[in-house]
Amino acid sequence: MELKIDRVTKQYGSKIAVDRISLTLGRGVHGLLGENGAGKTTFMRMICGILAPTGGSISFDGMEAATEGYRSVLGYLPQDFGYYPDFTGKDFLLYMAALKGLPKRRAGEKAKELIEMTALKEAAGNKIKTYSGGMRQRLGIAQALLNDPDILVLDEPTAGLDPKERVRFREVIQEYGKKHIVLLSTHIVSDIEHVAGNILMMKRGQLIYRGPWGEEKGDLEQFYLKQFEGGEE
Amino acid sequence: MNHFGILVKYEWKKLLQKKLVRIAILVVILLQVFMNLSFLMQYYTSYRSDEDGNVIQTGGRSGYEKLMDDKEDAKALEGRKVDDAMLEEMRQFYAEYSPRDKYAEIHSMVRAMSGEESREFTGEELYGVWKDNIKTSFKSQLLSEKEIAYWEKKMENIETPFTYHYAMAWETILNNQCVGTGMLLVMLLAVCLSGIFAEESRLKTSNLILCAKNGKNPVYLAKAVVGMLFGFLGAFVLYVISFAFQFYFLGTEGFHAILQQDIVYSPYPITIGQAVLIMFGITVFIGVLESMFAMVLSLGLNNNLAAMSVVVGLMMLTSFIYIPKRFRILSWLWHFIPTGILGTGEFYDGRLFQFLGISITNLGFAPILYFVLSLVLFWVGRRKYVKVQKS
Ligand SMILES: Nc1ncnc2c1ncn2[C@@H]1O[C@H](COP(=O)(O)OP(=O)(O)OP(=O)(O)O)[C@@H](O)[C@H]1O
Ligand SMILES: [Mg+2]
Repeated sequence: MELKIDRVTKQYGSKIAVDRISLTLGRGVHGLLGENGAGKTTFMRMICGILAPTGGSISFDGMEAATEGYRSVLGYLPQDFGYYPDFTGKDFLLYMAALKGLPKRRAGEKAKELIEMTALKEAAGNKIKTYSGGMRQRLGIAQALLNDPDILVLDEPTAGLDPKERVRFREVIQEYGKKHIVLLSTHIVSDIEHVAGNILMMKRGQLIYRGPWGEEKGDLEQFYLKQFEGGEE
Repeated sequence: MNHFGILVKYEWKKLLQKKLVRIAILVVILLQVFMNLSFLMQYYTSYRSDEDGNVIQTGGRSGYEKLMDDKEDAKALEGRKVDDAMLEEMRQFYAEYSPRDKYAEIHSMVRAMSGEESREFTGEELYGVWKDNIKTSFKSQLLSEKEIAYWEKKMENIETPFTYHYAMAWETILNNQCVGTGMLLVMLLAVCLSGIFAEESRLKTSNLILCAKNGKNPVYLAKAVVGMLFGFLGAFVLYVISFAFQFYFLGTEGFHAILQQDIVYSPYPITIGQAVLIMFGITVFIGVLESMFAMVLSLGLNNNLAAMSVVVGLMMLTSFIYIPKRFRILSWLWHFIPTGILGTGEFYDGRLFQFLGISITNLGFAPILYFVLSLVLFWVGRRKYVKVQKS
């Protein structure tokens, strides 16, 4: 199980949003840190095949990004999670399951399981437009997990979650990462420092740190802040 | 249900849940009902001048009363041959004043056939003048010798003298409803379907769809199926409304009446009922084509208002801009852009599509053209959709 990212670049006019990133990701939780505008979302969108890289290639076990085989093992929570306001949470999950090609029976079971896992049981029959921000975010996490993806890409999944849900989420992800590739981005160091076995740090489109973070290296938060001292150019 | 069925089901749901779509459906249905009932809002007064030349009002009738009187008068003429005897009878009737125009149906037919208000004809003369007038119309359409020969052969199948059959419901639909129905349909589709792709991108759900296993071809196909089904159902429902009202007020009789009793200069040897069904059929094809058109624009322009404006704008444009027949191919192609082709004028447009020795009339060519264009649009849209990777 290997996600190969080879010299991936994204350029918008003269602006280079992602600059020649090469990486190989295996099982485990990979935490992507970086300030606003560092290129995290752009990088993740390319991994999900919804944004074409200007250069470089992405593949998973020999399958190119955006091919049907690749898409069938992918789960994605976008930073701006889009939903149909008039669908109920349950309908939304069933629709997403059909999109992901789950057999009908399995779709029903999986939706039910994830509704419970994300504590949306009471709200599952209500329209999504009546949900709070945190509930929507949990629904977004649920839909990403529907097809038990080998590659789970979560763009700021903890945004809007309360502390209790944040803790629950961490547990779920830690467990999930044992057998799958999880890539998750955040600004909040505490979200990943105990969960992510591998830390990736981006700055102005480039990868400036990668590798595990152990106690011996000191405080991750301190290190992170130091990288971005001096602020914007 | 397999995945595709579920995808189609949810596409329907997305479409019908939109407030804009619900309102548009309601408005279009109300307009169609209103178009069918507009006669109720009319009021007719009749006048005559007395010996001193003073104008005196002789009566007033509501639109409904007039319609029922006309219906009764027309029914009294059922099955009559329009021949010498009939023309003589009519002359005698019009020699004296009568508050009811009992021969209106035949009188207006004769007037249209001859192009003259009050000349006295024998039956033979009348049909002679009628044929000459059709030939003149062919000439003014700049038809080729071959086309004229084609139609003259067709016209041999039109039996003269004509036999009048009561067919007011079918005539009303043909004369008053077909164009309006087509236009309502195009507007409905423009409003409802121009968001079908653009909306996903506005809601940002396209991010989820495009990275899912079935998010490309199956989703495209599901959307296209829903759109085309919507176009088809739209045409169907609008016609059902027209049929229901017209049959209710005027009866169902007259399917087999010859087309010429309504559209006298038509060289088509068909019945009025067949003419209505042809218009209905073409409207269905228009529905499918315009829904594909609206969807492809929705995809290409990525903005529902823009897509809607293009669809409605193009329809408007064709009713404002007339290309003279001497620009043969251009004017011929232009006149196929919906919904001009649904006008009664189409039944005397003699231009033919000739290919490999086969001649096809406009009314036969329209469905073929619309179908082929729908397929082309389907294919163009699919290519664009499957490839879409935002930059
Ligand atoms: N469509 C676009 N056109 C032009 N520039 C873009 C586009 N999308 C992103 N960018 C630029 O690319 C850079 C990276 O943006 P990106 O959204 O990937 O950052 P991010 O790390 O996800 O930031 P945040 O933490 O705020 O989510 C930014 O400078 C942004 O302005
Ligand atoms: Mg981002």
